[in-house]
This record gives sequence, C-alpha cells and structure tokens, in this order.
Amino acid sequence: METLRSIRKYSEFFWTFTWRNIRLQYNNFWFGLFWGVMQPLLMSAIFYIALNNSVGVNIPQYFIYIYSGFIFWSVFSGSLSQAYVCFLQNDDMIKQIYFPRFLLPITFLAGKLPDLLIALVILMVTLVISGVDIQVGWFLIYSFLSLIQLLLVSIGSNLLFSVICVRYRGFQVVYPFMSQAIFFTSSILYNVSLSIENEWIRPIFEFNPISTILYTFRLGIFPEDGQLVKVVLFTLYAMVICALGYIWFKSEDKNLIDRL
Amino acid sequence: MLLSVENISKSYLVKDPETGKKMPFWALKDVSFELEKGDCVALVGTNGSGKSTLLKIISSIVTPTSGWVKIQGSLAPLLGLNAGFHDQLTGRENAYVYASLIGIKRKELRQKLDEIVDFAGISLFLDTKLRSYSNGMKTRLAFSIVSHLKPDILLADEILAFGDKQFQELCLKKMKDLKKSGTSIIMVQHNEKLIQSICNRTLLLKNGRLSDPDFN
Repeated sequence: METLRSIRKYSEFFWTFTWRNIRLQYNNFWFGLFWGVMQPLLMSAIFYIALNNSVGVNIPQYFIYIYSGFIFWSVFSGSLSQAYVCFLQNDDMIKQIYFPRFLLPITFLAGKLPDLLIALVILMVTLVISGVDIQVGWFLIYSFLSLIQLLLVSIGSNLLFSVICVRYRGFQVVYPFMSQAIFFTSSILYNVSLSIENEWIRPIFEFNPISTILYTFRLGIFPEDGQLVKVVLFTLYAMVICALGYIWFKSEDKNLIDRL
Repeated sequence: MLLSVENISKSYLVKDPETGKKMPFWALKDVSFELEKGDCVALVGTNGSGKSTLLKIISSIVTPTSGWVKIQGSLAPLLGLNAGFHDQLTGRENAYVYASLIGIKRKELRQKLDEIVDFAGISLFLDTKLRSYSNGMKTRLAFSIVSHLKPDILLADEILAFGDKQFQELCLKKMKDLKKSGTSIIMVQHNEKLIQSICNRTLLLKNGRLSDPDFN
C-alpha cells in the first residue's frame, strides 16, 4: 500500500529521472533513441553473418530469430547495467534527500522502453517483408505477455542487483561476467531446448529469464514451437523474480544509507 | 503538533580496537522532542554529537534503530545543498530535477522559476551547464528552490555557512519570512547571535543525548 502511494506521489520524480538518465547517458535524447534502436539491429546483423551457416541452419528465419532476441536483451541488459550501480553513483543525493529509493533503479528500465517500442515496429516490418505467415491476434497476445514478463524480470533484477552492489562492492567486477553468462545461456542466438542435450543442464538454460521471455515472444511468430502451458508457467516465474527482487530490496533498503 | 520525535536511537557497529569485538556505538540515544507550528529550533552540539544523523532520521533518509518520527505536513530538507545536482545538466534542467526530488510539481516550478532564479541571482546562467557554476551559485539555486516551496517544516544543516555575507543575510531574511508564514524550522547553527535573532528554542545534543533542552 505504502509502495503504491509513493508511486503516485512521486510519479513526476520517476519520469523526470527517466529523462535525466537518458540525457546524462547520451547528452542528446535523439541520439540516444537512435542508438538504442540501431544497436540490436547491428548486433543481429553481425551474429547473422557469423552464425547463419552453422547455428542458423536448424532455425527458419534466423535473422528474425536473433533480432527478436536482441531487442529484449538490449532492454534488459541496457537497463540493468545502469541500474546495478545507481546507488553507488548517486550516493551524494541518496544520503541527503529522501525519496522512495526503489524507484531509482526502475527509471533505467523506463528509459529503454521507447527503444523497445520502435524496435518492435521494425521487427514487424521485417516480418512483413520476409513473408512470415503470422496470425496477428496471437502475435499481439504473445508480444503483450512477453512484454509483461520483461518488465517483471527487469524490475526484479534491477532492484535485486542495485542493493547487492551496495552490500558487496566486488560485485562490480563480477557483473560483466554475469551479464555475458546470462547472454550465452539464453535463447538469444540458439534454441536452448533443442541444442542442449544434457538433461540436467537444459532446464537451467530454459529457465534463464531471458529464455523464458523469448520463448513467449517467439511463440507469436512460430506458433508450432511451443506450448501454452509453458507460457503460463514462465509468466508466473517472472512474477516470482519481480517479487523476490522487491522483497530483497526492501530488506536492504532500511540500512542502505549506513552501507553507502 | 507538526512533528514529534519519540525516543529515537541509532546505533552503528564499531570494532573495538583492543578486543576486536564488534560493539554498538550509539550515535543517538533516546532523543525526544516536539515541534509546533511556527517554531524555530536551533540544533547545537559539538562535531559528532549526532546533529546530522538526527536531521537525516527526521527526513526518513536514515532508519533509526528504535523510536518513531511522526510528521504532519510537508517537509523540505536543506541538508547537503548541492545533492541531486549534476554538472552535465543546465541550471534550468537541474532545477526541475531537484524540484522533482523534493516533491514540487513541474507546473508549480514553472510558475515560480523566474522568481527563484532572480532570488538566486543566476538569471544569466540559467541555460548554462552547471559545471561552469561556482559553488556559491549552486548553493544559492538550491536554497532558492527549497525556500520558495513554503514547506510546513524546513530542515537546514549549517546552510548559512555557505555563500557570501550578502547572500547569508538574504537567506536569513527568507527564513524569517518563512517562519512568519507558518513554516517551522530546525536548523543546525553555532552562531549565537543568529540563533537569538530567529530561533525560539535550542536543542543541545551531547554524545547523542539531548541535554537539558531549555538551557537558555
């Protein structure tokens, strides 16, 4: 309840800081937007060229496959990479002015949403050009569901790692590795369900939060590749991640200033 | 009653240099006081007596180990004045960011911006990045924004130590105006002449405890 009330009261703070983050990162709002859209496109092009004749052989529409992966990945990792250090970088402000601190890591996610929307439009254009036969209704439903999952997972991770980084400063050294580990153990470049043969490792890769989001999203494009049951399961999973992040954050929030 | 502070204590764990054991160190111990509308309280005490910690607990930045703070009304902190400012943003942009931090609506700020900028004396530099501001200019801008808010409670941590004499006098006048219009003020202050000219009560902190609150 208290959380909801502070969200309403501080909504202007939230959007002002979202704008501030973009402004500070790129100095120029339009360049930021442009780069946010270009980066996943370029990455997809590079990996498409590199992997199309090996990994891509078993996946129809490989470019669309990895581009959809990079769209979600760049939102997730782009926001997390700014959010996890946000309390260390803004310690001056946090020590001296009160505001609901849980909003700060989430503003970084909000700053990535314009990129995401534009990227989704580009993806749809790509779908039309390459003549993939999609059912618009299902596509929209699964897109919507995967967006919800992305928001939940992202909010949870941003909150979680922002306080972990305050408690364990060494985490800053671990983060680049963690980020890459999440990237390569998820279904961005390849289908983990088909490629991993070991029965113990496969579920771990499948429950990589990014894999679960992509599973849902790609079902809207390639409907024969999955089951609805799993989508429901993955949505619940995303909720658990979000709740876990929030609870962990709240338990650390009380003494956050004493540790900064 | 506007503000009531009830039995606030705050402890930090410190390592005893001799035994190597972790011991609680009480930065504040059983501090209680109340603030009425229009009160102006001077918070005095030596360095490390817990003045800043108390202000941070009142503004809910720091969680007390035990005790409660009850606030009715809006509260504006003037703790670290430049906190929240960023050198890469212009004065105008910083004003909006700062305002959003302390809970002023964008619309309200837009209406008062001219007045605020005039008071701070930075009209010429409003659209210049903050990195070319002097420290005094930043302080003036921050004070100007907060004081135009007309909060119910103003917390000021040694702010009158910043700025030149002229601006200090301006600040003092502004604080008196605020007090007249009903704002209650808690200020950390050591200058006795100043205390006498604006404050009606003094709170003395000694090693984290409130000494006789009516000692003068």
